[in-house]
Amino acid sequence: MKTKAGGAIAAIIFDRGRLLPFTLILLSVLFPFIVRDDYWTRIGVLVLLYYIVAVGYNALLNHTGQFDSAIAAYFSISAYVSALLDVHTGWSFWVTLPLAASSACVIAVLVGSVTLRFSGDYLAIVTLAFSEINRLIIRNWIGVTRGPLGLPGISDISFLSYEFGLSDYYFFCLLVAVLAALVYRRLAVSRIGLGWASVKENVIASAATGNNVSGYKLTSILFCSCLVGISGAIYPHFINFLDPSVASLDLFFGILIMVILGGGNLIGLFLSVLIFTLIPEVFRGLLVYRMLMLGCVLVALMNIRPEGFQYGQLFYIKIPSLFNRRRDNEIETGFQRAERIGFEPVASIAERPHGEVLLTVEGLSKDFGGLKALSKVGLKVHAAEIVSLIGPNGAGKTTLFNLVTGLSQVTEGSVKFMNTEISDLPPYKICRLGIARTFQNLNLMENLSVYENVMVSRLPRQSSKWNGKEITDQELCLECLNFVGLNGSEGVITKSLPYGDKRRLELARALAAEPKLILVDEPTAGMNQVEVEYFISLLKKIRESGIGVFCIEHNMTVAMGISDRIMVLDYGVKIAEGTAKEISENQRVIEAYLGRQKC
Amino acid sequence: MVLLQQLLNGLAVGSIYSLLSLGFTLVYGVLYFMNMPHGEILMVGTFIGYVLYASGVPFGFALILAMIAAAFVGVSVEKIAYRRLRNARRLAPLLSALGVVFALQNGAMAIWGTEIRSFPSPAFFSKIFDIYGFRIPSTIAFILGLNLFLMICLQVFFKRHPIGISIRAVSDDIETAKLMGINTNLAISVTFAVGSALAAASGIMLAVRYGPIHPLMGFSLMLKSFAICVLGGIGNIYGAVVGSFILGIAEVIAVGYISPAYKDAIGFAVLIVTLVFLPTGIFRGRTEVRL
Repeated sequence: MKTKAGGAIAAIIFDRGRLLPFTLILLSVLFPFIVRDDYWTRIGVLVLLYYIVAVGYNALLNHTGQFDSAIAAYFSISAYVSALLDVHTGWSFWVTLPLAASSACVIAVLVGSVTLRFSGDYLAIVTLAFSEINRLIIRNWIGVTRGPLGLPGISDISFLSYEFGLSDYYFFCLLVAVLAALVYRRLAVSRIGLGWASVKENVIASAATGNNVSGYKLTSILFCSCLVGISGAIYPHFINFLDPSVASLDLFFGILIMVILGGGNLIGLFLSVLIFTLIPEVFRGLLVYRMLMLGCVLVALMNIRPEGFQYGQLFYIKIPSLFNRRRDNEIETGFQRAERIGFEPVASIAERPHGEVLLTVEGLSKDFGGLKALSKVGLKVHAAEIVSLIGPNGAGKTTLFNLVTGLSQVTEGSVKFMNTEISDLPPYKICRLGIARTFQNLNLMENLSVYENVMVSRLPRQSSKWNGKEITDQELCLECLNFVGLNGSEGVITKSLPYGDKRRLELARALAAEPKLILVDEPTAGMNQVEVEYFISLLKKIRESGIGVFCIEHNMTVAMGISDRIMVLDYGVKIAEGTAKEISENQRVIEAYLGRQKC
Repeated sequence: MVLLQQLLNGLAVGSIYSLLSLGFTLVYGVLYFMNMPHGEILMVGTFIGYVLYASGVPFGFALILAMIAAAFVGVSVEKIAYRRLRNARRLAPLLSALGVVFALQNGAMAIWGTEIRSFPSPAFFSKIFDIYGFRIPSTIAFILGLNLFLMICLQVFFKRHPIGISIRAVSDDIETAKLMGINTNLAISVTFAVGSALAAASGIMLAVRYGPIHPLMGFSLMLKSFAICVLGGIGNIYGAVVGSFILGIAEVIAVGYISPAYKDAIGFAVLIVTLVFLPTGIFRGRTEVRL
């Protein structure tokens, strides 16, 4: 019995994926006893403090893809709050820690909510600007911060009248660092982690599948600033001194290098924090030449390995993933599967009873500057029918879809979905009401697996539970993949899918949102005849299940073949509506497509 | 009158900034990423100009030689640090650029030391023109003149010269330009050369008119020029010029009426406020996507 338990524990520890983390933690615990040297233990504390910051920033930069460059500001705000409270009130560290960390969080979330709409370089510059303003304020607000003179005499952390010594700082920071890493790991495999990844991969797709993108961005900022704040609150107590240099961009650049070279996983992150803290210390004697060297090394490193260190490959460390992602060329493509299974013949469309009215558009107009993309368009889409929207290029078809799904702002008119006005709602709320869509230019999360792409649609529909199996609805996701014929490809990285499969994956993702109405933007573009017919059979099955299908289609045979009703747009105006036969005989439609006959 | 004098000062600062920002925005327009060592290239150019002028080379020659040297540095930076990373993920050239920043800063410190130096002002710059009580220092006149001259050169270069036209093509769509037989590497090199030369000119004018030079002067100037470019609509040449003048005048007014300590902060605050209300800068419309 005993050996069995021992074996199980050994199995857990010596699991290939866990061996390295356990070894690292063990080495970290033993470190002060091995070196027995104050200088190196101090550096160890610094490594751990940086690691705590880096774990937070990794979540923000590598996981959520938000290039927020104000972490030096959050760090210094927390450090100053912690130091000033200590100097002026003498409160215990355990009281000031939450105050300091939460002040960093509040500032970070405020900055984050102002900069929500920015991304990429714009976000970087705005937050960098904020960071610089913060530094200048700290340096020039002499009355409070004593400016460049700094705040001396900050007391050590004490716990029940026991004052922390160097090794206590070390173990305290180690504890915090391990906890931070564990919390991040847990978050990474939860729905929050998938939500963050979806924001990084494709903001539009994430929003269009009902995810509150702003919410994910803010939780990521909150998590990051919380860790940065904790580290920042410990720092002045550890150094016993604080001056405005903590607010300089050096800290940010250091962490940025560590996080980028960390390659996105926690072990890699630790090694890169270790390397980039130690190297400058070891070569301290070289003065300016060490930074010169560091610069050259960075340039060389990026030239050789633009992806950063892939520790994951070196040591077999799995990046947290919901489904084992595999790249497999041997997988049967949807097209091959369609050929093997065969598909239903396209039946002629009989007059169908129309269900309830789902979508009502009235007097809808859209201006782009001076250009009128749509003017006073009105239409209705019912449940269990396929309505096609056709029209020459530039007629405003995709614009109409963007207005309905909230990706563009309505200039005038109303869009009602089941008697709810939706023209002012953000995309994620519209999706949650029951409108899902696909895109003309695919919007997939290319670096996530096929399964995860579908799962993103389920995120807003999860009840939040704090247990290991948060993401439920696996059956539904698999069923959606099954429906479009992508079963068997769940673990494949999306970018390696063939084009036709990607189109069907978008359809599966839209269906996973359990919509009442589905908007399909040029589904058959670029497909061959076999794939087109397969796709048509899918659309028909969707209709049979009672979902309304609103479809932009360029292929006339397809549009005529499947639609219960067809609408024609030309120059932003609806010029005709009716059955396929009526449309094909309509004089205005013929003119729009073929030009006016010269008499 | 004081206000007018301030405005004149602001125009001079704006001119200096616009020379700096043009290079930055040109590179962004072509490669779609921020050229972080731009400020360091300015610093190197300024130091070379300083060394040449201090060793007896006439000011005009020193200026031109410094511009050529800076162009050389800029082209090498692109060749060494960016060229292989053009198709890598976005963060890779960023980190490589950061490496160049460290290398140039500390290389300059190793060569020229860390002390703050002041650029000796040529004798003819101490003259002040007096037009009906309106005082125009000859430095400001020279800065404005040089700026105007370089702007016209640049305009002619981009509108008439084949390489200038090919740079515009590359900035519009690098892949198509390549397919049309344009030597994109040449176009990118020339972009870096032009931008770096302008940065050197800007740095020397800044040193002559306003102040001390030291190896760390470049980075904050780069940040400022990034701010200017975003303000004007990044990648847009006219945007950079307009943004420079806005920031130059705003800074001078802020120094005059608020506090010199917050001079840089004011610039960034203007940037943040503008962007919150005009997310893609002055010279591009608002984005349509709202999430």
